[in-house]
Amino acid sequence: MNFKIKATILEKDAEKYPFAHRALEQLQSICSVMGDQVLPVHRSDEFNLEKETLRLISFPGQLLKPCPGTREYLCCGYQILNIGTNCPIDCSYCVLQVYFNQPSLRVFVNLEEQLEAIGQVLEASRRKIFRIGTGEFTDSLALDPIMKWTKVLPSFVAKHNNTVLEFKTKTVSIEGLLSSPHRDRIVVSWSLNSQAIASSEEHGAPSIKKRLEAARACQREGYILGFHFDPLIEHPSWKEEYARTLDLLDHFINPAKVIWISLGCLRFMPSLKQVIRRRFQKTHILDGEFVSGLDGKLRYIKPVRIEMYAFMKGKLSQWGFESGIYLCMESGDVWQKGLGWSPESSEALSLYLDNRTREVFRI
Amino acid sequence: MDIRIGQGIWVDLDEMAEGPGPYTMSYGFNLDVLCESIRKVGLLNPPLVARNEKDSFDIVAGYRRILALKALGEPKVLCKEVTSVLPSPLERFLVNFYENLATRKFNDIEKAMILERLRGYVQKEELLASFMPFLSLPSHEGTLEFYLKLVNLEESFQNAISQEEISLKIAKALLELDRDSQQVLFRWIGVLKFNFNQQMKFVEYVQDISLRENITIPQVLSEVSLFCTLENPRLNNPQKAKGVLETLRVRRYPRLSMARQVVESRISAISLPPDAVIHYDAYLEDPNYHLEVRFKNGTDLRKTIRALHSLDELEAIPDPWAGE
Repeated sequence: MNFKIKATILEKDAEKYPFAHRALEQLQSICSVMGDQVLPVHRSDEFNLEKETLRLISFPGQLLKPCPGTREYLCCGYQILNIGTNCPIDCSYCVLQVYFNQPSLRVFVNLEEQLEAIGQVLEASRRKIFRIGTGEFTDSLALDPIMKWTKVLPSFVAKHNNTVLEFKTKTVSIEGLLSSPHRDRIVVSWSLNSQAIASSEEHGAPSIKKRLEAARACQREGYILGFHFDPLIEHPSWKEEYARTLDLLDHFINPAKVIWISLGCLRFMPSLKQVIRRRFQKTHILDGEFVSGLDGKLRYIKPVRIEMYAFMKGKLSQWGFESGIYLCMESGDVWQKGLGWSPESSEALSLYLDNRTREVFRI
Repeated sequence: MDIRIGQGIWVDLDEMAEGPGPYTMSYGFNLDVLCESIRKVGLLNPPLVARNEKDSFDIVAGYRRILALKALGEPKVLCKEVTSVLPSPLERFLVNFYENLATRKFNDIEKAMILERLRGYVQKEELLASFMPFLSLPSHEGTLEFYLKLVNLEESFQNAISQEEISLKIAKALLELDRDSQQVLFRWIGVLKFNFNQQMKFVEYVQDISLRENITIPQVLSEVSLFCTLENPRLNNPQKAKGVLETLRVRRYPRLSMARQVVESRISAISLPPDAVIHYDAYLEDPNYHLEVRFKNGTDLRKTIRALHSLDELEAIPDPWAGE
């Protein structure tokens, strides 16, 4: 792990879960563990995200929920398995900086208990494909050396033939995956960017080369891979910079065993701008022409997005990857101009990715 | 403490220490109404005073009343002396604080003064947990730090905040900048009398341009065209404010501005019927235009539709980004 956890807090009601105790065993050697703590009345600093504190929590709500898309843009129908919130990696552009109003790394130790109910949901719609991911509100693997999600979740997915689970990460924490016997319907995906952006904006994340080396190791072990170029960021010589990442992709990865590659240009809630300015004063990621999108988020003007998508699509096609490229939260006209086709509706996009899932995993 | 047992005492107004002193918390107020009230019905409540080390009196409560009496030329005032009833500075301060809290709203500079003074008397935890909610502020350390910074601002800046001429959001944004940038932005805001929304846009544009072009904020604002707008005798102040914002917007969003200009020029060249208007998304994000037609009845509507139908120029309306 590139990051340090200095304190762990076992919150109320969390101590009864075996998950918590397994995590604590891992943690005893590396940090102090405190008992239940009442949340302070006030935050010491609104810009301190307390990424060195891990809270083990029993989450009272539903852990499986649809990705919160908006109707103004096409959404892929993904399901989020909420294993925790916040992330030890400190990306300047990360929406989680304002998405949650509670600091610290928070992991939900009642996950195993909830899996039974989640299983019932999956079984209740046998004909539906569930594309589930754990990497929306945290990095899927960053805390895996402690939490051992890769021990619990693949065996759960193995029981449900209509389900694929995606571990989405920027890390190289793949030991758990490599030792897991359950590899069917598991997608291991990496968030990629140009190395320039990775170095300057993805603080604490491994280099692109290291990520791809880890991806290659997984692919060699039979895992199906995914990649996410999200956020694509306009920066000096961005074409050359992204082309270099795609050259690395070509060097390390066989496109035939990649299920999907998503593209999404940088977009963010307006409130994130101030946080980025305060926390990352030297960043230039806000330099572009950002306008208020139909969902209220700030995003690049359309021609910039279209140019970036078309460029990436062209490069990915050259690499030999055609089926499975999709845009995250974009409008039909941007799809059409950027990728040359459009699913036209969220339902159609969802079906497109479901079919891709059936094809790759022979469901 | 029971200030009811304080002693009545006539005090020469000259004997009062100058300024608000350590216990009072009024800033940016207008004395006219109070003077008028005293003139009409006299002073109803005696100020509270305490003897200080220089053997003059500090005002514990009633600073504005005393200023009003001075303005009215009164030589003396009947006060209640609370030196022994309220022996500690904190007690004196709190008497004033709670009296004010119950009777009026504090402006933001006054809140800052209160927090600054209280900081000398109570622990930060208590300040956050007990006093900030009284001031209608969140119990938040960042907010406390921000308010404490307001105390050390230049007077003109403080006046603008207390008079609500600049928004607190802008004050916060300015405080994060270096002094030169603060001053130049503040001067422009003062001269152009931007409303709060315009202030936000102005500061955001200037800051974005400065960071993107790697130049200082004073350098951004030294652009000749900005001064041309500012000194244009044919423009009134709101027009100048709009003009300055437009210049900055075009510099911040060159491609969007150009595309909008193309769309706008094409649409305005069309001789639409008077009851029809074409709308488009200001950010050209929505791929669709919208046509609004006002009509009084079906005949009226048909007339407008017929007029629209015969307009060949409609074909010239481009895809919003086609002119890029």
